[in-house]
Amino acid sequence: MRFTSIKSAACLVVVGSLLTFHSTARADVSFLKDVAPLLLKKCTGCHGEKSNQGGYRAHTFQYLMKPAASGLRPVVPGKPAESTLYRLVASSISTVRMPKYDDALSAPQIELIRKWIVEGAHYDGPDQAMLLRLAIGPRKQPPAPATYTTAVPVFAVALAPGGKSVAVAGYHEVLIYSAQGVLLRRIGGLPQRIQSLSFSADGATLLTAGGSPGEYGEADVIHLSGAAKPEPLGTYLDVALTAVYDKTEQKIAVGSADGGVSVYSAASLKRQWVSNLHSDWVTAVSFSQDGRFVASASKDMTVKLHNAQDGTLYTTYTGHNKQLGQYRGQDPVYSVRFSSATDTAASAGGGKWIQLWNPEKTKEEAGSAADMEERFMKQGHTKYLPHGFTRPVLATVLSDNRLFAASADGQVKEFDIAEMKEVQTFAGHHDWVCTVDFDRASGLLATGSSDGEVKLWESKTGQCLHSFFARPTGPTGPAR
Amino acid sequence: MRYNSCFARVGAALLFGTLACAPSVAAPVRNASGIVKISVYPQKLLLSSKRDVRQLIVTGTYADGRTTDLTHAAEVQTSKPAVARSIPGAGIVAAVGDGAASITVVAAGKSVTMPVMVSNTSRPDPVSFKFETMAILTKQGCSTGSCHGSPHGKGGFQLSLFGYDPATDRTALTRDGYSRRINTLEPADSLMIKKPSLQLPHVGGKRLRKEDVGYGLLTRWISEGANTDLPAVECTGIKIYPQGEQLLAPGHNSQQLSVIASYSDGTERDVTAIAAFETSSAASVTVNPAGLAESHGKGQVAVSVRYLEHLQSVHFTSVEPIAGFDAKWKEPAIESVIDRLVNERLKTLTYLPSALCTDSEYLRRVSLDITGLLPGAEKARAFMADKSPDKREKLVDALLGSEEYARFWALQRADLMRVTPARLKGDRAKKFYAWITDAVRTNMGYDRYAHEIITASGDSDKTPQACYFVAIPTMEERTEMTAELFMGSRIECAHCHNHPFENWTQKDYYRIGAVFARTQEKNGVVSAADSGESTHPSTGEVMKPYGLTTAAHTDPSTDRRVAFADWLVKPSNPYFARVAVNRIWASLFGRGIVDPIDDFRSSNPAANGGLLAALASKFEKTGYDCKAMIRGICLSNAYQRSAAPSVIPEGEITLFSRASIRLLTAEQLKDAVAVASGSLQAVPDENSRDLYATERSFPENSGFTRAFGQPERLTSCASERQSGPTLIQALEVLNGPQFYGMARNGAGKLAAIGEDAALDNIYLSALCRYPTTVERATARKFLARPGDKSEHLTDLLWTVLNTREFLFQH
Repeated sequence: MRFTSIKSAACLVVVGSLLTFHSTARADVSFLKDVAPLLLKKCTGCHGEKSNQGGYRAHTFQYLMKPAASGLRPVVPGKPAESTLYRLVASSISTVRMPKYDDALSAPQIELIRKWIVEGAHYDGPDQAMLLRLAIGPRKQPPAPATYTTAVPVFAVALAPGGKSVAVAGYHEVLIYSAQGVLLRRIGGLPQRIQSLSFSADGATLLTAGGSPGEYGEADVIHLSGAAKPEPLGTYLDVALTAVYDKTEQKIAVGSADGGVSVYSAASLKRQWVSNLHSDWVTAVSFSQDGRFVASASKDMTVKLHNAQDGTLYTTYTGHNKQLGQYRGQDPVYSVRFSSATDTAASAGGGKWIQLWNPEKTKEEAGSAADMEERFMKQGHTKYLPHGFTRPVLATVLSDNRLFAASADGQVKEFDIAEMKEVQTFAGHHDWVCTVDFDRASGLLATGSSDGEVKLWESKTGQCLHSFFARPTGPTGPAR
Repeated sequence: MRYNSCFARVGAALLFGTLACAPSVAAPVRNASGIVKISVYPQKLLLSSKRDVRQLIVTGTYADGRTTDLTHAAEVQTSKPAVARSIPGAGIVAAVGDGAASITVVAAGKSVTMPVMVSNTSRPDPVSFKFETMAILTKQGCSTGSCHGSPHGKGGFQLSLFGYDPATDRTALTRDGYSRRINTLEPADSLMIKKPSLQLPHVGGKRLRKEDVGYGLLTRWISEGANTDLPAVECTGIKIYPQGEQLLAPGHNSQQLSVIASYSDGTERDVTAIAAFETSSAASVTVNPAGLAESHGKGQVAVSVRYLEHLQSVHFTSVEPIAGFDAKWKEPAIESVIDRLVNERLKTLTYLPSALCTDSEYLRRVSLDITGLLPGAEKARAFMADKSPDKREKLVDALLGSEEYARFWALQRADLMRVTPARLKGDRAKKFYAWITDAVRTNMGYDRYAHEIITASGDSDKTPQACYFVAIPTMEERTEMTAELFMGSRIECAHCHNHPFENWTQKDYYRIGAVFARTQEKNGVVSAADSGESTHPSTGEVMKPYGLTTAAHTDPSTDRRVAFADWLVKPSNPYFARVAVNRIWASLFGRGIVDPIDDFRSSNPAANGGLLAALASKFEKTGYDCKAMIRGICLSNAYQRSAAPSVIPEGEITLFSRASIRLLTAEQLKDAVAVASGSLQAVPDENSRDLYATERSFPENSGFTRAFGQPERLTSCASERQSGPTLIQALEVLNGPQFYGMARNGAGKLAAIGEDAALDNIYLSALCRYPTTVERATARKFLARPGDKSEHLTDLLWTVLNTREFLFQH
């Protein structure tokens, strides 16, 4: 056993040095490709957006070059010996050396920084004030594993219009299954986990949102005809949790765990606006039927309504964070949907109710600080539909008045929001149900749970038609 | 299944790879030559699963009987490598395949052979969430109170404190936040691995390294699908080897520990690698994650070993010989078992005791300790003149026979039981204090005293001891106060979660609660109801009263408190006598043998465990006789030592090598000022008694006594009495009406008796001694200045009252 581990350690060293040789052998060290990833991994935790120890930050190129509290220049182009950044990472004095709370950089890593400075410390990015995490652009994603050693949680399912197939979130890929549960296609080149899937009305395009927890988010547009190569829409500081089209499919909205909401042109894939008003993860976004508003649900217990044109705040819905009254509770919101039949929005998450409300009336009731006392006394226009789940609602889908909700207690239920009543329960999952989708044309319902199981249901009868674990055993899709 | 076994092998390689690296600490210096024998723990090995390992402890014995730990120096050979293998340099044997083999341990030229049986290696052996993952989260520090174990977690990730609630933690780890913390396909890429290993920014710093056992186990657990099943089997306890107090000395400056957990299904498992180790003083003894304790300097240290909710401590005494110490050590005269045990400890840890104190020091000290009052000039003069050899005995006996003793020690007891009109209406506070005073005066056995209080029923106006329950109306207060008073334990933590530093669980808390669940109090009348239960807040389970063992005690028609009190005061109860004698000791030495006095726990070692045990046993044998205990301590050499430190090396106060120096308590000081200035006579009579702060039923709550830390008696905590110095104290002493007013008052009387007599009087009454020649000359010069004589005397008296010699007990 000892021999094996020594051997593999030796292998790692060899591979490591080969990689280094490769990168340093280039004529120029690329800041974005070589230096920035190193800074992000080893420095920006203490010298970054949230913390500026020693009065120094390195999360943008602009900041990286700015002297710290000491006044010493961190980078003097061409002169590593005068560059504090280099001197500190290369120091042999343990009390001085950076990173202070981690092991020292490896010799090849230190050499990389030295070489970049010697070569003039050039910036090869778009904008010197841009966050390095965004400036380095979409990551090159590894191929999905040919076979999964364990099932992975199914965070997203989407029924293709007509219900002939269902797209299921996989690991670095999307898995397309037939309505009978046969794996038809694997679309790779995607981030590690996929949190959201959404088809265009014609079924030709698929929107995905996903990323690597705590470090990276990415939303993609996939044209399913041909090679189905994902086109990155944008990257984010944490996992992208949701991506949806508006009704006319001219815009795409993305919400991410860094608290941001971004809206893109569906035609050009250019970003039109970004909003960072939430103080916690944006868990779901939805366009109103008339296209005027983008609603974003968040763990910060609010739903925010943005004007879809420019991203300005229209109003904030606070019904999930009430200290007083019959419907009090402080709960994260995991889902928001607009009814196709009325102007009603339905939001849900923790708490006992699915909340049904209207954007204009919400704004009217929001009022000003002056009438706060009065507002506390008023009940407001919201209708509270008790859902009866024992754990939070994680996802909903709304079609006309039919609302399907998936819960962490393992159940899925259908409600009629016009009649304000529960219609039926879809029981059978053995773990948290993370996602639900409904296809109006076929009447099919698809659900996915944390243990990796996907279920397809006949929504009329509540009968489960097919169950399968989204755990491929076949050949893998192409890497990007 | 294929993926399972594949990962199992990778995991095993990781685990064993790390174990092999773990003891890479510098090999302790040892002299293998004089070793005459080696022994190995355990004597036979049963390995019952694929990943089973066993930490051996190899002990070498020198010709003179001293021992040393040879675990890491020993070579461990296996007769059949296909059955069991050893991890070099670690003293660990690991399972390979089913079968029997023998293990030979070679160290210091000696060898021991023992059998090993290995079974079940072909069965899957997945990482257990409940018994391994949870232990690792504690070991790496994730679930401590300052990190994710805090009531609101950290950074949106919350764990239960030291993993007391696995059912909640499994959701936090594997489900919350869209399962973002685990990645079963690429375990090392999981957030819960990348953050603590600083592959991503982590506010808590680097908590996990690839070479840690925890890294291998956590990634293996994740790769196996992060299974969080919670089997009904429970861990019932841990066993640590070696047992008992460990002496670390040159030639034996390190000790490997072994930790074996037992489970309710009858199995055992070696959890040394996944238990958490913590030292109470890293300056003396450190302990590494593999359980190797190493000495770095002299001192007494508790190394606490935590596995799941089980916590035990190993006590180490680390000694450093000092050249020439033995020559300097003069075997002190031994008066009693106290001196034998105190001296033994001092000699082991190479501290020299201070010399014995003078008569005047002794008189002042023992009077303040037993009666709370200064003896007065007359008594001081007489004591110094007395030539009889047993005058200290006679003094102690006289003091213990005084009413002042009864009142002053009753005051100390009353402080902890909320004897205050704020809690006890009408005359109840006064009556309860009178009852306590009576118990002290008549020397009521401490067992009966505790029993009467805990089982008190009836109208508290007529049965004053029932005031105990009137002052603390809730089940929680009764639980906490009883545990603190009579069991020396602060169990408040266990109200909401298992105690973080002791074996007190939430269950224990509500079991003590169950004792008082039927004790009701209405309009000052205490009675036992025939219904009422205490239920565990998270399981809803109805708790069985604490401490009940016999069937008779579970009879529903009897008062549960009686059964509990019977259990509590029975000789050999683990808490009662120890806690009581420690309180007495602390009153007399200014510091408990266990300190703080209400913080008995294995991770807070006694300064002298043998001494505490001997005193407790003596206390039990004498029928819990408090006076005899006080007498014995006050007449020991340990008590009679000077407060001045011995020269080399400096005396260690915590080992009782010298008397402690402490500020007089608020009540002592107030009375001392009055007595020294002659405003109050040294011995109170029945008419003046209420004027003495040390004699009162309940706190007077004056600005003066509050400034010097008199408690309001609103908690049962001994630390409610503040002993730290404050600015207000300095102002009171320098400018306060108490000091100056009394001094002026006293000066008037002194002016009449002549200068020399006045000087003697001032020094004798304030300091129990005559002024020195220099002091006398200086004072005379001062008094000879022109001006008002009585003003000069006032100033002189005030000056003496402001000396540290007066303000402090020494």
